[in-house]
Amino acid sequence: MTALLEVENLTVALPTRAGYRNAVDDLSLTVHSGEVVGIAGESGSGKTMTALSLFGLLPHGAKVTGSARLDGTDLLALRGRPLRDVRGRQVAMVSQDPTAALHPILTIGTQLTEHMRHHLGVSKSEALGRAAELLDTVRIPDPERALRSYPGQFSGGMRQRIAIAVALAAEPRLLVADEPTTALDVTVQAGILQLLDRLCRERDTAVIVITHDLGVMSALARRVYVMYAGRLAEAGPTSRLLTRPRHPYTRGLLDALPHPEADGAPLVPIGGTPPSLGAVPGGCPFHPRCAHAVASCAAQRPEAVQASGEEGPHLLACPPDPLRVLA
Amino acid sequence: MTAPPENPVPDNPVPDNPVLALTGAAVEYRRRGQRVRALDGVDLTVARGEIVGLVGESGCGKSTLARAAVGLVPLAAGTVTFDGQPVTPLGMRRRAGRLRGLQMVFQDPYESLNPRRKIGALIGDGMLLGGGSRATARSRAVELLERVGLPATAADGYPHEFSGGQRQRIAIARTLAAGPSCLIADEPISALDASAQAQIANLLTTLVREERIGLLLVSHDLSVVRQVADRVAVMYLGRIVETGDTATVWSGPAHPYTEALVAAIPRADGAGVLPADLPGDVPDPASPPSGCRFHPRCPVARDDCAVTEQRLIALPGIPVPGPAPGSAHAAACHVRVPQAGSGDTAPSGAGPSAADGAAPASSRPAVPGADALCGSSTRTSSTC
Repeated sequence: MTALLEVENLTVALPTRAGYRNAVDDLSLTVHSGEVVGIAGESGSGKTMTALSLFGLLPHGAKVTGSARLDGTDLLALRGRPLRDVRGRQVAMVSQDPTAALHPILTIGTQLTEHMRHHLGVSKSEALGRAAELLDTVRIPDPERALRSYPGQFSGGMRQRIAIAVALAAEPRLLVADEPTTALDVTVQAGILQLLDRLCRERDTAVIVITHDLGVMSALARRVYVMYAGRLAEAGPTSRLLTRPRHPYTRGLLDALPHPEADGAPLVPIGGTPPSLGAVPGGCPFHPRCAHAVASCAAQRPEAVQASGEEGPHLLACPPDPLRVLA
Repeated sequence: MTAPPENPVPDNPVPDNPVLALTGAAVEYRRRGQRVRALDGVDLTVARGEIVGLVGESGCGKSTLARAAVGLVPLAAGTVTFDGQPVTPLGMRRRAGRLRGLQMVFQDPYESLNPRRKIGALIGDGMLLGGGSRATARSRAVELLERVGLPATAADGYPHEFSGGQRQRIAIARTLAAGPSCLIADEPISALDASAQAQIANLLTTLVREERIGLLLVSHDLSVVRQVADRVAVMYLGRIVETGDTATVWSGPAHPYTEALVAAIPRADGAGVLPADLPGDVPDPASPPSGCRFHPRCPVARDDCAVTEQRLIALPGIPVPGPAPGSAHAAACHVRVPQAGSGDTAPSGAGPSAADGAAPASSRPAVPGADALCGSSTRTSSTC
């Protein structure tokens, strides 16, 4: 099986007062058609910068190296017209805040048909017909009427479903969902998760879901990349990663979650805070917060390599591998 | 799993006089000349040293309740008392000094801290209002910063120098400056990162236990409420539809709405199971559905649900060791919690409704250890 998206050695450097600093540092990942892949990590871990780099939407002054090939086309090298042709048509994005993603004074119909007509070259009436179908797919009641309505007339959950419909309008092959349910209620979140899951089954759309919520990750993603301070900490199948994590950071993220079975036991937070961009520690970036850190952790920057003892592909950037005995 | 006997009530004795009490509280807003009841006849108590979780979807009135409890919005009916005294709505005048012990922690620490004032000054204000001098305010601010796990040097910093979790600690330290006996926290951890969430949840729990502060924790995140709250109240469209001991409500939710909320939580177990969906949205409170307000979305609704108003009925069969009446498990659903002949044999009736046999779950009162039931009901709902 060939990969739909192949990101290799992606490095995004952002200007800070102390010079350029890597917000994403040497990240490689692959996504296959119809597959949901997750990127997990706290704020500042480089999740969102990774996503934005695929769309050429990085902040002004950012330096990008490496490659991100979608079917052989390097998205990072595209500029101008070719980039516009890819955006929306091949890759589309759903952001965290549906209110900001939709134009407040254009009707849903206009927003849904705009790039459908641009990319697919269909007539206005055909586009409107397809738009109504899409709204039905994302379970918006009375699609015909919704097409004539404005974003403000819908609730947050419905707006996010509309934003997903807009992203899907030109039938992209890769959907990047950046914290798609963080702002929503659990009940609405469940609906969005089911929708995303259905889409990638029925349409063979590949999805990259970016979230710090490992519950969402568990429900949706088949494989997870865990990032910390711009670097890959661990990557592997969700079922392994969430039951037998090998990286102390993954373990820490899991322990910080309220556990469905543990009653009243205090939560176990990861001590300290994630480093800011200008102050990423040397060696393993996680070592100051790591309970298992040894002397070599502060000295050498670990590379993600195949974890020993794992059957499938499982990358781990933790040479001491203290959790191996447990695994 | 959770068995009912391990009810954590004993180590947390609930005194008879709650520090905060809402009785029949109702709040109305005006919208285009129309009256909208955002909060409708809510009874709720919080005792010192107790954490009460308030959960529900957005638009169900949680935040309105929190704001009414501290007097930020006036009541249309009912009362709110703090330490036995009525909480008067905030007007043009200075807030009454006797209410200083009732404090609020807001959701977004990026908005709630004045960006142009130093942390020490932000916290010191609480002391100055209480009649302290600047010198004592300063030393107490440092003390409080250390209490919430920040270095003393933080007092000389500005809010932007701190991360979200640290800012929320500062906001909590600021409320502590007033020497509160009751805190209302409206989504205090939703804006934070996963590890910061755990830190703040633990900090609040520790403060509540050690300083004997009552805490009303408003959150849409049930798993956090479940972890820290002693009691939980579930709201839907301005009303409380279920209340009870957290472990009991979690392991055996009686109201279909609570059940749907619990089933919708994705679990980080790597099993790849999609959480169960609850279709529909919270209706517009300007025109609430007739009868049970949840009936249009309810999977177990019957015809009469659309006409019969529901009120909280205590669940029989579940032992209630807590001394306060508020610790009883109660739900407002006549399908799941039948009123058992309107009071004849209500409290003790063994298997009061097995004959009624409406749904498998209606046999719940006869089986206190609702584990099996909970498991089966979650399973059925997640397969649809």
